[in-house]
Amino acid sequence: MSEWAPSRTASFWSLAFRRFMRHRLAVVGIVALGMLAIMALAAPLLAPHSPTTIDPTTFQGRPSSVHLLGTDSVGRDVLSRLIYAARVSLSVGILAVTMYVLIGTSVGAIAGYYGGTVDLVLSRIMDIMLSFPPLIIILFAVSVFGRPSLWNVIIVLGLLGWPAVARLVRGQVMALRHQEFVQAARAIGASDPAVVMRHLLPNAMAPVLVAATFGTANAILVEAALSFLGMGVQPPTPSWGNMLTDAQSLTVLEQMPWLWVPPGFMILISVLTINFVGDGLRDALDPSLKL
Amino acid sequence: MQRYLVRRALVTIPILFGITVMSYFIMSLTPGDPVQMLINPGMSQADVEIKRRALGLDRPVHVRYAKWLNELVHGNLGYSYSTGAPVTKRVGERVAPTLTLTVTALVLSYMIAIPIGVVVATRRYTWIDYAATFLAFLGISLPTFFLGLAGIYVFALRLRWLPVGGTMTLGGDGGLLDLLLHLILPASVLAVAGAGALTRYVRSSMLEVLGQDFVRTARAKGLAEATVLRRHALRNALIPVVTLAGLQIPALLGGAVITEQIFEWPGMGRLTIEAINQRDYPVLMGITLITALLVTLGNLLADITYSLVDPRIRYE
Amino acid sequence: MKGLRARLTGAIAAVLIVGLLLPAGVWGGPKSEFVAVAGMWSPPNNFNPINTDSSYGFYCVRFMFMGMVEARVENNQMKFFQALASKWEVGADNQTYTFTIHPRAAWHDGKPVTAEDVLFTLMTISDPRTETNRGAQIASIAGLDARGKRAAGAQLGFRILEPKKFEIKTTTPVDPTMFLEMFGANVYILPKHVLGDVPPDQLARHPFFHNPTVGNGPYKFVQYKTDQFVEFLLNENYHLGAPNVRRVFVRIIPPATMLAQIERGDLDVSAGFGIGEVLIEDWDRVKGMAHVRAVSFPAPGYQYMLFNFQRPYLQDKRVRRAFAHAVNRPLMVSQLLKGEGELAEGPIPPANPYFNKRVRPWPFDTARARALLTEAGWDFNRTVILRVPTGNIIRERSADIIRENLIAAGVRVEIQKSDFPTHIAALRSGTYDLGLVGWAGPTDPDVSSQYRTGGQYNFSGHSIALMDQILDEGAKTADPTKRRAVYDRFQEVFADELPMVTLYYANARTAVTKRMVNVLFDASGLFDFQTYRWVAGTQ
Repeated sequence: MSEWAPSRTASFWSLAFRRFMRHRLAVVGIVALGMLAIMALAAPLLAPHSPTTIDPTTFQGRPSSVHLLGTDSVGRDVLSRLIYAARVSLSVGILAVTMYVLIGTSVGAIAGYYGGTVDLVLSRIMDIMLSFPPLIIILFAVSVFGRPSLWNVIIVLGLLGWPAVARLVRGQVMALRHQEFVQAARAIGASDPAVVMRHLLPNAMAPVLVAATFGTANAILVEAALSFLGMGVQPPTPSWGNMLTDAQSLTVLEQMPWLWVPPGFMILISVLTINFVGDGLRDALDPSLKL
Repeated sequence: MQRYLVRRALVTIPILFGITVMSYFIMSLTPGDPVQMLINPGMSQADVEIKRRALGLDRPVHVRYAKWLNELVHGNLGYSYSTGAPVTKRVGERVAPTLTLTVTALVLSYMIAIPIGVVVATRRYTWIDYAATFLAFLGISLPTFFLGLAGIYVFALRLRWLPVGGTMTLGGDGGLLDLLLHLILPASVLAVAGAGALTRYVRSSMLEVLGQDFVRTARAKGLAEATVLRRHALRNALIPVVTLAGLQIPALLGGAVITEQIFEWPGMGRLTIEAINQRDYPVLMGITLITALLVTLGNLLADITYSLVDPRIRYE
Repeated sequence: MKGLRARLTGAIAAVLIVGLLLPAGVWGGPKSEFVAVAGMWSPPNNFNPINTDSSYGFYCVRFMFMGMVEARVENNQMKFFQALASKWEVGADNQTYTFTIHPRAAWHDGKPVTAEDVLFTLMTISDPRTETNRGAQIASIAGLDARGKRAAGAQLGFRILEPKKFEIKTTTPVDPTMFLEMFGANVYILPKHVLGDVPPDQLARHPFFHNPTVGNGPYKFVQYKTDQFVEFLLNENYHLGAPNVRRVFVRIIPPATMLAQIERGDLDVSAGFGIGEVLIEDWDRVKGMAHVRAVSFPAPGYQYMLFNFQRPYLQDKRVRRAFAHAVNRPLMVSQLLKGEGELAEGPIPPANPYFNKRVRPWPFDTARARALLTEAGWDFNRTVILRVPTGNIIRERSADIIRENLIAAGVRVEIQKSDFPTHIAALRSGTYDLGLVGWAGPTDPDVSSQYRTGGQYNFSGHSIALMDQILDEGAKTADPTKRRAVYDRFQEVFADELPMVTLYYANARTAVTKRMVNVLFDASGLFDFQTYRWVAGTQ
């Protein structure tokens, strides 16, 4: 790290920050994401009802003054569940993706930079991970961690996600490492970690960021699929994904929009904002894009 | 390059071996048991014990694995616990329907994504960009079962243009037109879900390339914008997209569990989930082995394609 | 350039229009009176009449293979109808059963069905090398042990009287209704001339069971398109009369899209209880369809919550009764099932001839539950684990209600939901407190396998001496009237001891198009009863 000139680093990040702030959609995205986060944290204050309490008088009840967004299939308040679900859905998305981007980036960078035997070994490990049908990895996680839980979901997603990121980073690093600016950095005596961190990764980051933003969105959806298979977040904890599984009937689709529109909308909003932020980050971090 | 290929091929064997060992032991660790889960008032305790013995479940895992491997070496993937049919038949009969569905969907999604991605990248921050972005996210954020049901609701129930599911009309002779009609909905559902992510991918990759020196050089040389885009930018921008396609090969054969279920499509995803639900280990092993083989091949192909489209990559 | 674009646009528009109109012409024509389509949720695993592992398989098998009789519950009475047998007699000792096979009963290849085939089937099922799930159905036959297997050298209680007439002896006198249901209706006869030379340990993998071209039922096997449909063609020579419907398809349709298939008229019959029903959300809509009869009927299955008897704190019956009081079962029927269900305290269905009307379910009473728990010294800081399997959406929803109800009574609950195999493994290994399971058994009231000490499906591991004694007596009693008294008593003791809490008996919600006539459900609630009598009209 000592090779990093402190002043240069500071200017790089402040420049990046200014660039990011100029990306209007990204700013909107970060504000919206912040609001979602606040909603998640302040759920007990915001929710009009408990997310698990059953109203025996209205099952699948349409929106009313008591239940602003109606009730679900066991008479629970949809609005309250929607608010609480932000906790699960956001933390699954963010934690899982953070986990696999960190692992994937490091493995990919090492493989791509060193090449040769290191690359061969790491690439084969990636191949092995990618060779398992995803459902078998899920089985694996269940067998190792015993019973389904939030962490289980995060670990499954992490296991599933990192090799793809690693391959992406490896490809980018491999393509870049023979370029002049990298050769030059090495020629002036920069250490391997410095070359990777300072020169290669920032240039390889754009596709990873895009992959990560989509990964976050995808994680929210995979969580729904896992809930569907009985390996997701345990009931009665709500997540946007498992709320949507209530909509598995054409009649519900047609006549009970309050069961699927709100969670669908929240998923859409969170996916959109996360992607705007990813977009802005990429523009900010990748100087070569300043035209 | 040749030496590299030979080395890769040699590495494949221990990898496949490792994968089978890992899968076999993971499966045996998984809670649940193919005989224990059968609950049938007609089945006596003796029937249960006979079945356990017949399936070899009374033996320790390593013995079972050794037996399985021995059979494999002799070209036999074993018999499905649940149906009694040979695994090769159970898995084999899924290959064609699975590929028909997933490859159609993949081609469709690339046909949607590449042109849109390129157009959007060149018209950044215009209303086209925003509209395409929004649609892409809509495609991504709708779960497949929801998209599938909505598709059935609109096109099969309301408009009645398309069948609800299956690959052929009951009592009909099949035929290409019949297959196509049955293919439209499931393939579109899969393609819409895939195209969303892909569009963003192409866009981002394209933007990155457009900012690079050689594109500027090409422009400075006075080349037509279309030529710059096609000859210089697109070719480079497609590298990560090619990687993505390589990554999708196992997914292609793995099928699409939920789409297949909703549309009565006899694909590999459905077989996998059925096999998991029934703890049909021989079938799961068959699927894993074939997937692993294909992934290895797919990766090799991706690496080779890589070195063809990008002369900067060299394999020592 | 302009011209080209215009022409291109025109061409695309034309293709689109043709593409959109074409399929409209392919569908929507009137349904042929020669074809009927039944729909069920999951594929059959194979067509092995003695080993297919689910009702999905048996639903298909029964189009092609018959037992001696068919069974149906009518007005709370078990009734038997001829299938392969045209006549059956019960000896005065309730121990000797004589069956006469219909003179024209024949295999699909023309060979007659004989007593030899029946003997072969019984020998195969009772062979300790055969993979089968019919062992319990024949366990009462003389020469077999209690688990339906033949010891070396044992003589089977079976005598061929004539080529088409045979006699079976049971080990002890048994209730004839029980015997006729178990052996008569639930054992499907295999063709000896096709399978006679197959070693018993290789039978389960025999290709015949994926292509069963030689059956004895009203329909012949045509093909199985994996995961899509099974196709049957009528057997013109069926001994009870050639079927009216020429071709039957059993289609595999996921629950979510069954509604669309019914509404479009793609589907004529939903297969029935537990394997092909209308989703509760779609029920009102199906009831409103002009071309469909929405049929709901009491089914022989129930959902229940079992207690882990290895836990000392669940061994006190006051605690178990407290749980029964705490759970709002009426709400489950009125809201989750929209009224399509019944409550009962015990494992004998309300529609069963042996049901004891005097036993009433414990009422929903949170205060009473709390009082009972306090009385039993319940630790209100304890968290109990409620295990829930996936696969039945209403049952999954009921778990959320149970949890809320128990919390209201002061019991802390953690739900652990998992797939079915994991769930059963957890129940077997005892790592739970409460568990949800469903059960559907035969009409016979002998529930020893679930509720006797050491019973095969006694998941909770309970051992209640009085209940064991009554169950043993019931199994031994051959006289139907005395037997009824025994099981009346059993249900009273059951409600008092509560080895489990019966949650609800859901009605089967099925749909049959109005063009179909004579579609009746059998004793297990499936529409596979006397399928040769189905009649299909035009739409």
